[in-house]
Amino acid sequence: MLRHAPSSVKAQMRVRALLLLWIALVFAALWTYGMPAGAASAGVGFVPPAARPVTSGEPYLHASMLDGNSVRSVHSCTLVELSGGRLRAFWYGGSREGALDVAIYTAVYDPAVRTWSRERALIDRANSQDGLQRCVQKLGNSCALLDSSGKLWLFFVTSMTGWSGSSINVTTSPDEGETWTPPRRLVTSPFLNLSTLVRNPPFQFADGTIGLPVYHEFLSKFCELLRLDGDGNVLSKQRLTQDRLAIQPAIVPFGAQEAVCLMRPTYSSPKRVIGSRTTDGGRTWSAAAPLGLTSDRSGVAGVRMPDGGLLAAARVMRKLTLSVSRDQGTTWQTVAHASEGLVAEDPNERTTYPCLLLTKAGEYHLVFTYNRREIRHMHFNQAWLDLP
Amino acid sequence: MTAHALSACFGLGGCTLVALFFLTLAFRFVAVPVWARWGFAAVAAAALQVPLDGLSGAEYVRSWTGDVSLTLAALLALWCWEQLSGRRVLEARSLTRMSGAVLAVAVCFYPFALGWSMFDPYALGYSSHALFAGLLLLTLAAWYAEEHVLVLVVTLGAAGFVLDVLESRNLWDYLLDPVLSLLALVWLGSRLALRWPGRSKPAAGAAREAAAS
Repeated sequence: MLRHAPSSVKAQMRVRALLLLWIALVFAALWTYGMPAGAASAGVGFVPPAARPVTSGEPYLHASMLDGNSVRSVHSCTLVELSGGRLRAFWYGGSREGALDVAIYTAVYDPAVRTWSRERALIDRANSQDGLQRCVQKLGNSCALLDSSGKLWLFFVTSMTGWSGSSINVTTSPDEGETWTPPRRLVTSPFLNLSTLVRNPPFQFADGTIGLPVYHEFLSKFCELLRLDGDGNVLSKQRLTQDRLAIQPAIVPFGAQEAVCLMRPTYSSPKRVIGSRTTDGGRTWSAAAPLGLTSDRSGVAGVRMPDGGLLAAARVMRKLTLSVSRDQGTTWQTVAHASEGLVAEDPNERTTYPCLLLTKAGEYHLVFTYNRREIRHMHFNQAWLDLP
Repeated sequence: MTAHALSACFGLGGCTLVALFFLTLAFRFVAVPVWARWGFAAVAAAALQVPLDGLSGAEYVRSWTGDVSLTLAALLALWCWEQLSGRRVLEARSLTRMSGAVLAVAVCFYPFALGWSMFDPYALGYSSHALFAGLLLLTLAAWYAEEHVLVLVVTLGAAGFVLDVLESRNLWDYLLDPVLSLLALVWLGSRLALRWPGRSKPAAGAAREAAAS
């Protein structure tokens, strides 16, 4: 206890009364202001997927590489649709994964002329250290969202040690990626804020808050879903798995109350994509379990098709494979291999970290890492998917 | 002051206190005049803010520890005051009780928060009146037991959470952190070692105990 100079009982009682008053004041403030608006409301519902035209006409597949490739090693590309149907990609690259020269790059795709702009280094060690006021050794996965107000969000991972020591950072752009705010750290774990990572794209809930699927790798591996307010503050966190079952969750909303979560199996899981579902707007999720989609324990991406199906990209027998489910993930049918139509095939190819996007115009885009040397891009329509 | 500047101020302040705690530990064993202690601490605190290769010493500490809890920052501030002024502020018995409470909570909290089961107590820290109520009960119990330091540090943590002074928006991060848990463990370990059969209390420790009683 604090040593009190006044020795009289009266003085001690006065100190204790003041302390009690202080306790009352603090807890009244905590009760009144300690709960941010909307924080407690779990299960706020999803934005129902907008009706997308089923692209008709001749099937087409346009395959390309992201322009530039000024660095030796590239990985973990993610896509976001901008205004006018353009796409912006983000990925990280450098002399090798985890090297000090790794930066997050970006480029823009114009679907009208089917070309990518030159790559541009967006975030490197130096400018992330300046913004975060911390030492940064590694830059890693990123994911992006263009919210309903037109603000572009970029979440990215930095680490001081290995990937299991990662933390998430956020930066936003008011002009679809031309200028960015200084990055800011998200605090998502109580143990030195270690080991929360992003991989698959965030989404908006019906109330405008942002759902950010994340995963944890330190000591145990599990998936979680964060909900963030419009200023990027974490409002709540929900655990989706436990027991080293899965990482890298990808959430695919199907309706106002329904969504499917596809997850990458870990090395202690069966070689199948792990899945979970919600039917109450995200308030509760079913117990995660292996789905009928085989996987090499590599990353998985998914998107809801205009006809209500679920299209997923996952690596099966070393091939990045597109599969469709008509029952929200229970059973699957392989429809295509991503390598089809690509030039300069390598018999030892490693196609990893897919990211799938369905644009407002109803066109599909798939990007993935090819042998850690290239980011490849496939732009196709429903008719190409429907080819026998 | 923007929220970012406020959290940087408190975050770096807490990390400066962590560094000062280790730097002023020597004063427990070496006799140094009070004015020299304060001078050393002032120079060290200032030096920790000077950038070297783009980052200051406090920012390097922050790179590893993140923002330390306000509970720890308040205790370290009291500890440093004690080391620098030579005046006793913290009573050993009180520190022992508080360390016990911190360790008990940490042992129950961290395994679940780090994925032991689907239950995540850390998630409660974002928005839970149940957690607020539990904390109020703990604070009132500490007040009743006249553990006034515990009352002060817990209420400071809660007040800091209301005012959003750290980067985190989670109440747990204002109350508990791994550095605090580790220091509590070291303190309890050192007290147990002193009480080990056959060990006599060091003269300084015995004198303090006598002064405290």
